[in-house]
Amino acid sequence: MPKKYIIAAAIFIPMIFFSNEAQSQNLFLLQDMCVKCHLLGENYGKRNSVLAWKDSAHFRADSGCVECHGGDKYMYIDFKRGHIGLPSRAEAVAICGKCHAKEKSDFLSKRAAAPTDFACTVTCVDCHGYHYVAKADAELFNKANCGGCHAFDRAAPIYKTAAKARGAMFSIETKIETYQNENFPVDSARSRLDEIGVEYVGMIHSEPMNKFERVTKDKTMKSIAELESQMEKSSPGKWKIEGAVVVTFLAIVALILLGYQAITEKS
Amino acid sequence: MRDILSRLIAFYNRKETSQSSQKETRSGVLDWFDRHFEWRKYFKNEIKGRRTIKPQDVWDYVGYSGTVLTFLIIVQMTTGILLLFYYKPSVEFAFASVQAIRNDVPYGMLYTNIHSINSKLILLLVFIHMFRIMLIGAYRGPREPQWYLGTALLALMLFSGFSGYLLPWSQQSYWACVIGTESARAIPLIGDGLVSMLRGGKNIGGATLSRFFAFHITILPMSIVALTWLHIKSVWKVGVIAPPDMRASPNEIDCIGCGTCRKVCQFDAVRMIERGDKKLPAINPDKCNACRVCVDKCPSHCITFKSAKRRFLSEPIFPHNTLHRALATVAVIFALFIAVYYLQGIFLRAKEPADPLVTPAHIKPDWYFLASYQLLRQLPNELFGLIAVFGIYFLIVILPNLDRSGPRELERRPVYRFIVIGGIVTFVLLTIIGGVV
Repeated sequence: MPKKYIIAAAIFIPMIFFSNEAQSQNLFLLQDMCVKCHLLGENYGKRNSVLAWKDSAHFRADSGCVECHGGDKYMYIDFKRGHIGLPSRAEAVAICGKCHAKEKSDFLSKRAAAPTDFACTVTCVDCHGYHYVAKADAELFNKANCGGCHAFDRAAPIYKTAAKARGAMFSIETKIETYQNENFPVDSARSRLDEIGVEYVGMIHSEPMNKFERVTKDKTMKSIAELESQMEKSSPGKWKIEGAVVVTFLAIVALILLGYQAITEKS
Repeated sequence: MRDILSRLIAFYNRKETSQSSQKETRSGVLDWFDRHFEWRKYFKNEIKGRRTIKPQDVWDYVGYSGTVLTFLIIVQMTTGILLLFYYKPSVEFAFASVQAIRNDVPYGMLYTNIHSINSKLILLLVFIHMFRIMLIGAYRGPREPQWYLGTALLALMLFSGFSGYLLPWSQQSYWACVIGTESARAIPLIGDGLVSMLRGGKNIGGATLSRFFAFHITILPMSIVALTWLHIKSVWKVGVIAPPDMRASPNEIDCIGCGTCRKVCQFDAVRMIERGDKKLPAINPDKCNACRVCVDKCPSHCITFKSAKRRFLSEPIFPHNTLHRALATVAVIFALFIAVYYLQGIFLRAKEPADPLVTPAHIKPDWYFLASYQLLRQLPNELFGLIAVFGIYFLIVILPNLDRSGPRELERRPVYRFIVIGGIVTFVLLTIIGGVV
């Protein structure tokens, strides 16, 4: 075999194994027909939407284009199969609520309870985004999201409260991980933290924002403090101190027995 | 003033009266027990005058492994009963109930840890106890019943550990049980049926959990308690064997042949044999406990106990020897609680519930099965492996029948020494390799 073919094979064959990660991910995305056009099409804006979705929580949860835009992912644009194209902001709550039913009902009850001069037309996508939908976080209370409708100075205290609550929950999560690494039982704490998280999210969607700080302090932070004190009662540190007491007691008993032995032998 | 004094005296007298009446009540309680159970008579006849060898160094405390084991079995049963209040023996709830005990029940984590780690410690002490008996030749007559009972107890405790290992229904438990029960399939003709019988079906499931649970809480503990009681009773009857290198030498010149040593020996170790014109005592080293009662009672002080290595001193069973045994027990309990409180990460592995569809990367049985597990892995044929494992167990059981007489010192038995020490070293090495590889 000519030498040049051997050299070419030696250079190119290893490339199969060391291929560009983004390229292989793009190959994966080509399973979805929508992605095929929107990623490789000439419209650069649409390409960004697909790439943003690829990094989102929806992509990780296997929720694709058709869940929001309708249609059939194995066909090209087909309005007969339910493709709605670009939905309006007003339709966002109904579209998101198809999967996030509880959040939708919480949110609509807040809207119904809101005073008329509040006139908030905020929808899910105003805070959570639409293609790059990130995991809900205190960072959602930011200038870009809130400043779209009003001055950020009203949102700043809400952001601080949300950040404080999120920080407290994060510190409990870290504690749970530490306990788990030391082989301590964490199931109760974990399920209680999940309950607090679900209550908190429900509260964000259902309570008016002007009551957010008070409700966070009265309910969420109080629950987190109770959970923390419960975890302190069964902490690894306390366990080890208890162990030290038991072991010291046994050592004292052994010394007493040795002493008693010495006395009985002498007598 | 007189009034105050008279009141003080009356008060003091009333206090004194109540103390003495309390004293009467206390001794009254002991008397009540004595009337109904004759504990004083038992204590006087069985315990008070009894003597045994005094421990000279730390190695002598290894001889108290039996006493420590009795205590650990009581601890194991107590923690088992506490777990029984909350454990749910079904496939859906077993893992969750164990986690609930650890999470929510007061001190649940403590007695779960004790139960789990104590089971490993019990089997460690069983092996140490057995190896010591093999090394000093204490399986010979009149101690064969103890040996047979002991080997039966070993099998019961191993099966108790095996059945208990499945109960948390974790990934490790499930898959270790799959491998353990699957090995029976290698037996020709009855293998499949045996596996079905062990599992309660073709696969490990609810039926397996139910029957293992039934074994673990009823048949096995009752059998262990019954056999342990018989084992202790037979030990009490023949006493603790003297060390193998002990020589009891009656001085033939000074001995007057009165036979006092034979009369006072509680273990029937002395026979009077005719030598010339008088009868002299011959002490059976297999029956002798070296308690030295014959030495103390001999009117001509002609009996001596000798060893090339050590002095022989004896002490009363109560309270001296009891204190030594209590100290050994406390030392082992100390080690147990160190493991429970500080080393639980090493010993406890139930982190995920059982999933029949996901095989974990490393499946290992509990430490006491690692040697037989490794042996089964090494041998080319599983049937040969089973024959080897059960063959070794059978040889251990019939050891008193294979070795009936001759000296008990290891130095004077090179072949036996090679086999036993080689066997112990092989067991330890296979356990380590099985755990590491």
